Amino acid sequence: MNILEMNGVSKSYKKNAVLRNLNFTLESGTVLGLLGPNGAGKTTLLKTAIGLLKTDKGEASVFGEAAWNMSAKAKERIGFVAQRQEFMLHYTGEQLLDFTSAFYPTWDKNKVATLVTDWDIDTSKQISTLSEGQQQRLAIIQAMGHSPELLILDEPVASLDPAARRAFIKELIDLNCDEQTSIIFSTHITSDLERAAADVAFIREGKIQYQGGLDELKEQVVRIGFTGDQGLLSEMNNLQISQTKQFGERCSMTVTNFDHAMLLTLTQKLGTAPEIEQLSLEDIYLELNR
Amino acid sequence: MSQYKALIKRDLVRFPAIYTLPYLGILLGMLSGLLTDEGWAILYLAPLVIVRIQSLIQFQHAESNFMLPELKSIEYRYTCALLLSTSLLLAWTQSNSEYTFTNLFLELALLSTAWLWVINTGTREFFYGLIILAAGLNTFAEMTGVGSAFDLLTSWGIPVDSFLSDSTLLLIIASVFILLNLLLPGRIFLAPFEWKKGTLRTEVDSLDPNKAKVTGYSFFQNPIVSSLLNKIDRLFYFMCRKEPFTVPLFYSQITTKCPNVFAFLASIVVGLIIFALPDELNLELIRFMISFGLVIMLLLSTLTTTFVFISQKSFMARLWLLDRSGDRKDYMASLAKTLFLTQLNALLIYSVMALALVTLLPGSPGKYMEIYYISMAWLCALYLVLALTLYVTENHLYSANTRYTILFLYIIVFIAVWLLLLMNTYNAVAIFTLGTIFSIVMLKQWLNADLQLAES
Repeated sequence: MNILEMNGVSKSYKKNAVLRNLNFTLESGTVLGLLGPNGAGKTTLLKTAIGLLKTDKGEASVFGEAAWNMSAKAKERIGFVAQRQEFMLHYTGEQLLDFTSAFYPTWDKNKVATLVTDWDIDTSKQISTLSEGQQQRLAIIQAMGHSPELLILDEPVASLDPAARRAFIKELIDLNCDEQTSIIFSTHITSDLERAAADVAFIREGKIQYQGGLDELKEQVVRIGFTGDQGLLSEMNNLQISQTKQFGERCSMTVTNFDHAMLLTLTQKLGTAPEIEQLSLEDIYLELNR
Repeated sequence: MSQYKALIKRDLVRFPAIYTLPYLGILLGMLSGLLTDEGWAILYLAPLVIVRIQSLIQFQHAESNFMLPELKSIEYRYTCALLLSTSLLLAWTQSNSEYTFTNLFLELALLSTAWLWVINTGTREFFYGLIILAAGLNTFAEMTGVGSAFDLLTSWGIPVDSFLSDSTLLLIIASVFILLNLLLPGRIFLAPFEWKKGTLRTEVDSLDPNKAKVTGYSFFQNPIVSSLLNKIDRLFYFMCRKEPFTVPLFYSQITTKCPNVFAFLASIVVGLIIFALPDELNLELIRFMISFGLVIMLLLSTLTTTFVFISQKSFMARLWLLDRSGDRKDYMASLAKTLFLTQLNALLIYSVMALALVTLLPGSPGKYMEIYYISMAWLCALYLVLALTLYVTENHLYSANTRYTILFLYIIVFIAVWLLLLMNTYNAVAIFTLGTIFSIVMLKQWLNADLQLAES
């Protein structure tokens, strides 16, 4: 069941088109990582998905309700962490969490207390005196305190140190496993995404370039190495080649639509089984954005 | 109910002014013996609404608030309840006055109209100007012995007497008007609206004063009005317009512009009112009102200039890299000069305005004008000290809290000094001398400080 849907969504800032006829869905219980270059429209996508921005064209819905007119009940099921925190900086962390808790009947004080302790945040301090990373952690706790069914995080780990990032990723995985929370998070750090996400979506120039399982993606985008000339495989029409490199007799090709049925054909064509190299998500991302 | 409690707690932390400023106003009124019971009603209502509007506008600029369920409707109901209950409470405490209810109803109507405007346009400065003007008018009517805002209107030849005689009709009309004014902002406020970056946020595009543009300058959308106000505002920078830091630090800041513009406009209105009043009014009192009003405007102007200066600390650090000053001392001197000249400009403008208004009135200027000039000079000297001190003291980094604490302390000190000056003019000389000495010492320290202009 899809808990979030965007159909044919376009969004522009004045004359600058950011989302272009974009289609996007999120199934319940999925952890999805959103990846894209700067200015690709990640933040706009996330904000449009939850009604912070209005679509110019197309429809965005969440929990079956139009995102733009989302009810309070639907909001109670969502947690959101913005890229840039706009806290009430004069508050202490404790006051902020206390204020937020008043608006959620399902606020879990024990869970919040545990997270505050685990993530080592001094909630007695004024927020303005906390470091950027600590403020980010506080924002994440603020968004998770009511155990939302859908958690949306816009570059949540950008200000976190490696240890905090790991702890955060672990928390995301636990949330997903224990409470079946659906999660979307945008990031530039592909290693985090590999650790946490089951699904990935690549956005480029306002359109979803790829959306699907991370494992499937890794199986589809591979590097094929063989001895011989690159022309040997060039006549294979069903092979989507993103890059070819020839090093003397060795040839290396990056293929974006590989499947195991193809292996047999390749073996027959080359006379020997080619070497199939799995790529990291970062390499895949770079290949697809070439 | 817990949500309402949360909002009250939030306001207690964020806007203690809701509870403190009105009482300060009442205290001042009682001490000076100048305010009648109706006079301080607006002194309570005005700050109350100002801080509420501040809160609502901030709501519109914080995207995380959008996701809090029910916050919008609760915030709206809380504001309406606060306005209505305060008005009724004030009306009850002044039940001996003839026009208590009608006065309060009209004040509330005015405030709610302003609210409608603010919610619709997001221009808080306009609202503040309106509040200052409304509060000034009402207090002015009280203090000059005209009686009430109604009597003031009557003195202008507006026939409100016959209308007032049917108080039931007036109350019905006022009630419907208030109801509409509370419901209409609600419709706008509660409708879904798109989160966008603060419309009042300013960004400086260029350091060249001739090419400087400010993005997000949305004070008035109308280009003619906007251009007119910009021209008026330029008056306040005539001495330091060509300083390299004027544009990025002061001239382009909406927060600095607004008090000046409104001070100017409000003074014109006050001037017009004075000349429309009957001759038998106490001219000494009018002079007092003018000097008091102008000092308040100067207070606002210098405070915002000082805050902008302090809040631009990191920006100044970046400018150091771009600046063509010979050395660090030149750079620091240039900054201090800009600050000083901006303050001095405001002082001169207000002095000219005060002089023009007072000399146009028959009779001698009197003691109030002397006090006015001395207190203005004192303010200028001390604000310079304040700004430079805060800037050089690493332990007093600018923050919202610092700002409010300073604001609060300064208002108290300012009122105390003003009352002191009223009692004895000679005190003013001592205070002014002290302020000037502090300024010079601080300026020297500033120029010799081996500052680390790191971002903080």
